[in-house]
Amino acid sequence: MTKNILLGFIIICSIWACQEVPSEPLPILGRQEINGQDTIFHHIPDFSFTNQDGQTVVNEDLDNYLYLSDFFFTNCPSICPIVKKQMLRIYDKYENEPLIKLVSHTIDPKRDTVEKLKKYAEGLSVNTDKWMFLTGDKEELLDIAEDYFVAAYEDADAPGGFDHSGKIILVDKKRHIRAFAEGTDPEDVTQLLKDIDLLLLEYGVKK
Amino acid sequence: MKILQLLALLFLFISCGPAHNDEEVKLLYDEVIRIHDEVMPKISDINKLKKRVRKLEKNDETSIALIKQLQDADDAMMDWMADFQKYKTLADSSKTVKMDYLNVEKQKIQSVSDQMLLSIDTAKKYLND
Repeated sequence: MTKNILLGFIIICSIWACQEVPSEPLPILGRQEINGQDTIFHHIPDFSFTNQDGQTVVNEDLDNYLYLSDFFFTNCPSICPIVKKQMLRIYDKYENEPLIKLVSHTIDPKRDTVEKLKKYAEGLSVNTDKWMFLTGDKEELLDIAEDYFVAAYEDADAPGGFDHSGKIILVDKKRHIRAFAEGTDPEDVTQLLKDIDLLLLEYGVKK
Repeated sequence: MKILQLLALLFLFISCGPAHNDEEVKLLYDEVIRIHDEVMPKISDINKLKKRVRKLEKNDETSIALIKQLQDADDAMMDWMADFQKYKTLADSSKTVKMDYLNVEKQKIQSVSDQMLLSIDTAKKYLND
């Protein structure tokens, strides 16, 4: 009996020792509400948009994925082309990682029609199963942008005067925001790549 | 020796010339983009204000006009950006053409900026912010 306990102890110890020192898991960002005993974390609300192929995309379509979200429009003169390069960087790194998706929302649905988004995706030569481009009702798009950027607001030093238009947001399977980066800052995106790896590890994928 | 120095000087002038032209165009282009970048994030403020005015459900003339004013300001910015794509087609044009175009665009984006800020200001006053 004592032998068995000892053996069990040794086995547990060796499993323990074999594991790498785990990094701190990524925090859940955004406002938190306390509801009785439960803490309700900020999460991305229900949405329904249309992708570059004219198909409807809802939250459930992304439930089994970790995804990077950003906002853009094809006529954007300054920030978007820089952010696009960084999104491509993320795309290239995780092209063969099935758990990762990229989701770009237009904020100019009047001009960025399904056809326009399709052409835009073709111009980038990306697989749209992996990186989708969404359009929809302008107000709904701007509203959901607020939900994605809420984490960034809290990070802002200057309240109200914060330019959040170039942010890339990392969302987990539970619709929680886990990290974000300034899409115009390559170094910030390098950190985001590490954060993505960390989140993948949480879901059992080692990079 | 003197001729060589003169030649070198001349060469320097020639090689610096076009770069200087482009520099002036670039400065003006950057100025146009700066005006745009400064006010662009306020598109989300306009959206928020529009929703707040709508939520009051007053449906009177003032609030209807205010919502339209906010919407028009938003449209003006989106229209300007779509229009400004034309600049890309001027890549091979002369400096004069580019400068003329950018000078007009600078005025246009300044007026879009004014329009957006005014609509935000008007809405905030209406909502007693």
